[in-house]
Amino acid sequence: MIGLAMSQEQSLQFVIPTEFNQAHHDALMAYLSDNRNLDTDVWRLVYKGIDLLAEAQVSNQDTTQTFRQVYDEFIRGPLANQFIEQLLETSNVAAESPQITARFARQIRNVLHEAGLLTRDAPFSVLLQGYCLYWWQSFSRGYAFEVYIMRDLKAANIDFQMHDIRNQRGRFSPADLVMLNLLGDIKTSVYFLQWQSRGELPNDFYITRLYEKGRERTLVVFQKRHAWDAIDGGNTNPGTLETILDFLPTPIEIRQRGIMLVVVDYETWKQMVRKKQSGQGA
Amino acid sequence: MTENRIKTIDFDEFQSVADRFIERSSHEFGEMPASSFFELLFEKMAERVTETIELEGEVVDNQLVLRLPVDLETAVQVKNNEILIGDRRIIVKLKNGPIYPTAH
Repeated sequence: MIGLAMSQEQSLQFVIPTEFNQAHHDALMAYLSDNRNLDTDVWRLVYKGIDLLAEAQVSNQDTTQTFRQVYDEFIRGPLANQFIEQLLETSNVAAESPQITARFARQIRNVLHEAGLLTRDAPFSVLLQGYCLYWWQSFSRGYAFEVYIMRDLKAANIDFQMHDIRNQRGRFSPADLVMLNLLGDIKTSVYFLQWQSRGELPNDFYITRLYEKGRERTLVVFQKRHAWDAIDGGNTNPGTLETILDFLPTPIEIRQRGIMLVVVDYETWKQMVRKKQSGQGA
Repeated sequence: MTENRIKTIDFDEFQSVADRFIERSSHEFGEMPASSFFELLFEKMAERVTETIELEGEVVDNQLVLRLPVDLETAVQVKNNEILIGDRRIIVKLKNGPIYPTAH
């Protein structure tokens, strides 16, 4: 394969894209070691590195698979539906989901080892393990967050339609929820950026969770101008990337690279939606 | 092919990193800072997509048939379940059923 490099270790062979360099490796290890202190440049390397590893290949006897295929076949396929079912059985998903996520993640090493894809004789096999860990954590945290928001919106008597997360077809729908004829997505911050393709955002609004100044659960909604207007959002204050959360709950307008988004804290946004849906909007 | 020269983390050391990562994930959410998130988000949004094409698709006699909009001028070609972009051919297969390209 052009542009790829190969390492042979006994019967297990890895082909790692040559574009995946030491900086990508080190960034991934930094992420796995402790992601709370990564700067933007390192995050950029993590995302790029994971994208590159998706096309890395592992050959075992007669079978060659990309890392993405290995993850789909051995991790996501067997574990995703079980995980979602357990999430939906929780009474307090925010409190219980981290331990469920971890319980499933602990299976990854054995699953790869039993499939003959993880061995100390093949140094690159830890990259496959790291790739699977990264994606499993992103996936599982993402859906735990989605279940949390889904329940919270229901409890707040918000009228919305949700995609079916119990099956893969539903999970792959272009939008997670619809309300007020607006398409929305619910994604954790890490998962969102890995999932999002380049170019314009496809949906109208996005609910996400950010880490800021020791607060791990800062929930915000960012949206396009028409989505903000649809809930009678009103005036916004200009903000910068560095100070964006300092102004909350005041709605912030961020302009970068000719693109504008309105960012508001989740509780304020919910009140606006509820008001609009009850016909009390301006 | 050239050998990738990256120096990977030691196997046992990585297992410790993985264990600690999983342990941390059992009590935290692992989110990213707002400034990094929005900087990377805007960066991604600003990356140009030169052309967006919406195809229509339907299943006819167990064959996936994709079509370009009639009045669209584009270098992309579509033949049944195949999409041709320059020297690249994308074949879209339906899950749970074989789809064979047919010649016209």
